[in-house]
Amino acid sequence: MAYRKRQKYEDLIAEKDLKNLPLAFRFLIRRETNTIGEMYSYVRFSTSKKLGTCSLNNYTDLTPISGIFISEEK
Amino acid sequence: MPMILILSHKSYEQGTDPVLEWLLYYKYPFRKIVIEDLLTTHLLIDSQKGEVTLDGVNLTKEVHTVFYRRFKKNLSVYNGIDLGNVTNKINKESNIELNAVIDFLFFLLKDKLWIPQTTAFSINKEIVLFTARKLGLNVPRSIVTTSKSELIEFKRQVKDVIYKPFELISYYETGHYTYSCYTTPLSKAAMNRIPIKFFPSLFQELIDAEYEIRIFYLDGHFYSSAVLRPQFSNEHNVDIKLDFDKIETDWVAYELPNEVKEKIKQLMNTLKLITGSIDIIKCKDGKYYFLEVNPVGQYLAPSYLCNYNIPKIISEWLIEKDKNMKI
Repeated sequence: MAYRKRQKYEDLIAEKDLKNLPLAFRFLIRRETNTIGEMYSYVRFSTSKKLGTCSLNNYTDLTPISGIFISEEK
Repeated sequence: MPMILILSHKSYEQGTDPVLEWLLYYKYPFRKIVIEDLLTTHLLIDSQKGEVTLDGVNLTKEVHTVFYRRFKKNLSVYNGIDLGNVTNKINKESNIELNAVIDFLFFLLKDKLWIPQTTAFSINKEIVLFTARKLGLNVPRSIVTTSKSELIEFKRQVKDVIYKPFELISYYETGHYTYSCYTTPLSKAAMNRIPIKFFPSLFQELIDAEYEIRIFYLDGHFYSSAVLRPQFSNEHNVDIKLDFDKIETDWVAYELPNEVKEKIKQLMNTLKLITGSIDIIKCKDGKYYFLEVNPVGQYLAPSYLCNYNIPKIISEWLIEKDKNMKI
């Protein structure tokens, strides 16, 4: 497989401040926030109290089998 | 009646709730807890009895199995007026306090069946590769260095090199845009961005892959997906996450050769990992290269794309283990 894509790296941090940081901060790629989730299924959220937690409950676009997560509110 | 305890994140941890979906379907008792619950729910830890009670539920007595899908994280607990450095210190030390409570809570539940084990929540990539190499798996050559001249020499030896964060570089959201570092091929332009001396960094030989394989591993069982991309493309990224949603990227169910499976099983047993998301590369010469394992990796997308229904599999496995766990 030939990796040919030329990447554009963002200068989020000034050069003078990069000295003691991991190299990762020299190779940052910028993407639109709503596209992040690569490798993940996109999920919806509900606040169903059935799980007894204060967390948001994540479920996929497929209709949940229990019906529990089709909530109430987001 | 036994109960499964699920430790997870409040949001953006998508693997957890589809599993709970199936536990609800099977009407099997469980309780999900996120770190924020410790600030809002009644918690009692009785050191004399060694018992943990949360919201009236005695976790010590009721729980047999703990399904861990990430839990600890830094909370921004102070929301008052900005006190400059003091604000940072308040938040940092509040999190240290909370983590101490969590460590004690985990200690009191240590005899339960943990998936994965607490020692495996975060494992060192290079330790894993070192162990994999010793067990006979092919792994990429790598160095950790602070010197550009050593990097250049390494590149001369292996030809193509990538930079990858050793542990974690997360996402940095600034509203409409988010920044992150992915596996980075060291082209000429990328090399020019690297100074003469730098932070200790991990560089690896770039393996020329025919395709990549993502495996969800659970207790000796493999659910493998091959990621097929066009062989020659100017739009190819080294990091599959950047090509994930491209129309040319195909995910297909895949069967690993038995000898590779056996070595991976050995590796997982050596690392004391019951489960994990594993990345492997299949090369044109037929060799398989092991890249990494994430004990709490994501599995939902490959599961959906290859019709594995992994959340159902996990829930059934948890129920069976929980029922048979003797406390």
